[in-house]
Amino acid sequence: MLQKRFRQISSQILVVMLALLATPAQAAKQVLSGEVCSARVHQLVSEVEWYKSLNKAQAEATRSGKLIVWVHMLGKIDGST
Amino acid sequence: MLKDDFVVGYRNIENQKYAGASGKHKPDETAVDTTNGAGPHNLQIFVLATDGTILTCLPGYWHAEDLAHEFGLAKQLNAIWVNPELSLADKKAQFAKLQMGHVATHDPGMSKRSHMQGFDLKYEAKKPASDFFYNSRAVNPATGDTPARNVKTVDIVMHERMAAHPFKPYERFDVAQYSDYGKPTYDKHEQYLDASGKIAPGADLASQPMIGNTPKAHPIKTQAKRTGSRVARTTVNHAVRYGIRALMR
Repeated sequence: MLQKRFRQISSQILVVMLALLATPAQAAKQVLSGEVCSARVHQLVSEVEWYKSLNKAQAEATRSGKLIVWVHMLGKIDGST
Repeated sequence: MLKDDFVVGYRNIENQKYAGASGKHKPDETAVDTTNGAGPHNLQIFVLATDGTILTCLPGYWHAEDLAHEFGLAKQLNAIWVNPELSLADKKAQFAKLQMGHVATHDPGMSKRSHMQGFDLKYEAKKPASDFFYNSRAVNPATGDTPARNVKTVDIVMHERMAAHPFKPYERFDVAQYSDYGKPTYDKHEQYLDASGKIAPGADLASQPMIGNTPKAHPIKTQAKRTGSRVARTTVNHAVRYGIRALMR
């Protein structure tokens, strides 16, 4: 369900986030085709849970002892940006 | 790194007054990378402690390796924030020191990736006291020209600005002011680029859908607003005329 919910995601932020998912040494190429973006989106949203509520993210962070990466973005993470 | 080390979330700022504007891009359209800090009004990446305290905030796009480097700083800052043996004053002092000291850890590649783009630089040059210039008097106010050595890269300005906000709660952080630099509209026309990174022949850039704070992004709402204003104006005019006529009787 989460995969379906987040199967689409934005362009520029994806380049950053997906590269972080892979390895830090893998820098983004100058131009990424739509197919590549689409595939990476799928990878990102299927491997990472994205919270929409900061309160819930904080609760999970407290439980897991992790820091929070909280992104302000123009558009929806599961749609156009 | 994201998956293992962080809890991740997002907020859509499309309807926030401080948000900028951009061409609207579908998730399966072409994307490009750009310079660090580009599009600061459209994207802000925070790292927060579990209690919502801001450890760092990166405005705009950042290359993955540079983002990872900054996330490392956030972890260091968190260790200070949760240290029960330090006073708040000590914590804040260390925050500022680590933020400013971090600039020295940026490798030449990161610095190179953090040069502000020409159109944003021209925009900053027209401001009376932009913090992107070491000496504002060395900027020609008419042309915006200044020696390259007078211009700070975004990675430096980001740390300078962040150092002024030590361990601030997220809800009290003025993100509009913090991320205010460069033009409010940022777009690279990604969906119209060919494999070489050039605008494809025949691309109709004028018809590109927009997102954010631009009337082009809300054509229906904008039209309704215009109609509403026209109706209000007409009503006021009629009322004034009626009132004058009534007074003359």
